[in-house]
Amino acid sequence: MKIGRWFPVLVTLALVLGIVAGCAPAGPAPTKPAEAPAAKEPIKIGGIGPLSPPGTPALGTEMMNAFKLRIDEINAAGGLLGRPLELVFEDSAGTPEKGTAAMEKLINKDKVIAVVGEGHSSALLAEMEVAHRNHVILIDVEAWSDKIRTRGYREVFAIPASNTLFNAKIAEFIQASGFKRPFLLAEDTDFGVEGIQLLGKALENLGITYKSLVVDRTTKDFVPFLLQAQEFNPDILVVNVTGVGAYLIIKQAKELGLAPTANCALFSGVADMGYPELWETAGSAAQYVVWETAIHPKAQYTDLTQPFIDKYTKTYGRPPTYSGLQAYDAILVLEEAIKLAGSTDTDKLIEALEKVKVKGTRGIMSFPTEPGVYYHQADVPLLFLQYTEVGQTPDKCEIVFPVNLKTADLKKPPK
Amino acid sequence: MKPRAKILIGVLLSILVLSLPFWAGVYWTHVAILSLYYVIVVSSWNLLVGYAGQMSFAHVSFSTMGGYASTLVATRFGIHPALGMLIGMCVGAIVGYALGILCLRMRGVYHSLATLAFAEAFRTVLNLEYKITRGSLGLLSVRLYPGVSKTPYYYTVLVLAIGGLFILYRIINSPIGFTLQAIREDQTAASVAGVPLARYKLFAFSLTSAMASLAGAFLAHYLGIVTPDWATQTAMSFVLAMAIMGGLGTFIGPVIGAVCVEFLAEYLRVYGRYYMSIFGLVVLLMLRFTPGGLLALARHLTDSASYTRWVSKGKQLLATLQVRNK
Amino acid sequence: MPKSLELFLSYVINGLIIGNIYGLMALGLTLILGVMKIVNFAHGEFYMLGGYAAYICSMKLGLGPVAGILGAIVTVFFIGLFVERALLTPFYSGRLERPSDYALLMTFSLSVFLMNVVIPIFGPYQKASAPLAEGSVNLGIVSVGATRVIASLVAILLMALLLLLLSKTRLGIALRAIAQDRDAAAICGIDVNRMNPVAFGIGTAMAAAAGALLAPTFLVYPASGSLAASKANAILVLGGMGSIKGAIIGALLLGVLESLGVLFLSPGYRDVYGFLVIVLVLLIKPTGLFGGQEF
Repeated sequence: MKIGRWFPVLVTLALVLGIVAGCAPAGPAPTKPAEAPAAKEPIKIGGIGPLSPPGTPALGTEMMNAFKLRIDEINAAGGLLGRPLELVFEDSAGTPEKGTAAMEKLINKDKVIAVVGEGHSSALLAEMEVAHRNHVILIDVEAWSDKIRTRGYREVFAIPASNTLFNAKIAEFIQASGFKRPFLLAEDTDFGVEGIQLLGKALENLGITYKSLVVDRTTKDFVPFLLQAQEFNPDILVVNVTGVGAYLIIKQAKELGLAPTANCALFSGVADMGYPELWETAGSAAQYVVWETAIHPKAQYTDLTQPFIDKYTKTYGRPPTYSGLQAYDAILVLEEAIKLAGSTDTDKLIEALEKVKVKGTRGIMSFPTEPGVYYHQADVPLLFLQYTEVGQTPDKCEIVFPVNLKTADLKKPPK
Repeated sequence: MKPRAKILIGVLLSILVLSLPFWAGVYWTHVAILSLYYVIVVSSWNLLVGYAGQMSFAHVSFSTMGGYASTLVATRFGIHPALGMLIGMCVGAIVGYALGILCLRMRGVYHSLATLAFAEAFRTVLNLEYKITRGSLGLLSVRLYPGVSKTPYYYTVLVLAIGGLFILYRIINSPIGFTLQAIREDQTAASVAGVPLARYKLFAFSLTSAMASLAGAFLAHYLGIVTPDWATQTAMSFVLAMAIMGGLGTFIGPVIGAVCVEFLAEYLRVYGRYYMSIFGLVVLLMLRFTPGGLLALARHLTDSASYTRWVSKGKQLLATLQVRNK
Repeated sequence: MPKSLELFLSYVINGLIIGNIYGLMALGLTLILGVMKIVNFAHGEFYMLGGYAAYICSMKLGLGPVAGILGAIVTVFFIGLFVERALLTPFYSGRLERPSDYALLMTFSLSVFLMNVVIPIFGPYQKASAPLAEGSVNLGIVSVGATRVIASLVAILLMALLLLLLSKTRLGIALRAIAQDRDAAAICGIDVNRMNPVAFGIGTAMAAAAGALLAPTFLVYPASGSLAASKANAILVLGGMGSIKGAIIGALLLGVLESLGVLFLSPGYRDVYGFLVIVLVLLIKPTGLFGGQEF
């Protein structure tokens, strides 16, 4: 034989082995905060969240930025346990598949001591399994599904509200504002479907008739669904769809003359409502939309809140939404736990987390251990705001619920 | 190369492959497992497209189908994942057969469009029937082995891959294989020569779909999750890229392609957003300039004839440079 | 009017308005298929590129929606030319063993590349381009977004222009000749090889126009081409591969069929009906409604 059939095979396999050998020892540099003293072995903290669709990239980016902000502050003050902190942030795209792959990488390749983040329940539910299997702490920043709490994994701690809490509040809001015919639209995810079930039950308990529809969260044309809603003749449209669909559904509902109109209000309870992208995409249709958040200048700021907002705005050029605050709080919580435990060992940290009372930017956080929907769940304020002007920023909105914190009545668009 | 040298290298490689979990570390074992999964999927696609000439964009639908079928029986009926994998394989074989029947009378572009339509419809239905499949979130599955270790998974998929390759090798180098290639070359001539086209095409479809489904079922029980993203055309393009890079229509091509591309993809992952673009560009260029894949490229580079050609070109270039400098 | 009839008509009207624009895209696909005998699997991505071009021209450069559409057409025309010259010439070289497989794999790989290359350039976020109009138009039975209505009318205009080009200009007649019989056209003195990039350019420019027209409504993002492509493919198959009349009528028919499906089955499945249509047509009458006839 000439050079032979096998030679080219070997050339290519050599390539492969070369790559393997090159990669085996350590991965290439992940994102690092500005000042990290090279001398000591850094404590690696894993960050996870949606940086690309179908997740909400604005949310993931905000979380990452907030994490970085706090970690930089900690490092400037000398780090923790005499070591600098290092953030490794991976994109979960808000899907369970990418999320689990990201978790595998963070835990097995980067060897992080804990993972913080995620804004989409379905992704988190899958990521939780990886965390539990590998006995690594996972602090949920903005995922609401009850199952995250009810599964009772010791490694998992929740900063945001649970679906139960959230939907109970929506039902209360609907009743308090006198709506009689709600129509519910939600995305086909754990957040959405669970939400409809919970809200449905809560509405039934209050004796309010409603109708609901589950929509594909990746669709861009919601008109067929909205036409069905229109047939029901609702007086409030409750829309829980995340991602860009959140904005499109508002725009399309307005174009159909469905909501927000004088006859029908629109409530959307997703994090996407807090971003300026809302005005870019939905435009003037978003005026009069009611939405939900955890903080507002006229209610429930702590002394950490404003400094964080100012610093974030200065560093990143745009103000944070409540998700950014939740992310910042997550690092505060982890920081306190590391200090209390005096180590980065998972079991010691879990013990510490169950003991701490941390003042964050939204109030004081602690994590009870009773099983159920409040397991490892920090207490969370919930405010309902309304956009009354086009292009309005969240802090200029009026608070329309809960009744004891209200700054204005619900406004209806002119006929 | 002397036969002794070949044997030596073969033994060395075998030792490396058989002992991989013990020297590669957890993360790279994970990548190796994914590579072996792709070896099965790409090799089977290669039989269907490269050897039998039946262009199909629906191959990843079968791996996804196997994953869902196996997961559903395991989670709903408590069946052991291993048995689930067999069930998944059977489902794949049956649906593959059905798809084959659908495409029997179609040729060329129509055939491809039909498989594309099937693939997209399948994926859309997976997304829509969220009550059964949990839609775009995917289904959480039962893992095949208890515990965290990846070692049993690696050996399982290695056995599946070697088994699959063995079957493919026997088929390719048998009268069946030659007949499939004849169908690829000229379907009408083959038919005229007495080949029962339908039987062979359906055989190719159901066998390759079964293999892909089995691999998919395994992957679902390894990752612990199966999602509709497995059935997207982007996922299909990975399979395509691996087959092309390795060398479409050759036996060892898919193996090389699967391994190289998977490791390359992991390595490129650090480039974040740029990684798929770089990858896509490489595939395009490869397809355009070396359709024979890495195999052909390597052959071309190491071929004695082209080597002497290059050397003489180099000498010429040197000569002209010297003349200029004078 | 009975409620369900009213609902059905609402679906139909919406379906037709949007379907029209997909028809424009399908026309481009038909042109490419007819002249070059290649099914462009990357057609959806040119739709997407058209959307991004419209975004740049109308929003980033602030030139307004009309400039957005024109910009999309012109930019993608040249991109199409380039792509054809760079990637598709081996199809005609006679050196390939299986040219149709090559064309399939090449356009498919191109589509994946294009879908991913825009991510680092524009980011993964969705973008909107400037709409042609604001507010809604009340059509009696249903209110429709004004943008959609105007976009649909513009699509009709562009289709008419294309038909004019094909029937009245020398270029158009040359293209039709090549579509009918490549060799005969070559014998008549038409430079068939130089017509390829032109056909590809025009075809992709039509997809880009559709993308630009729908960008304000459905937004632009890397994967936006996939759905559009599947609609265009369904129209292509339904109307008959390579038939212009088929593409136009197929688009309208698809809109109606989808609306029927939505009414009787479920709204979520609307996009699946397109695939069903493809499969059914390929099974029953692969040449489609008007296929096999002249361009």
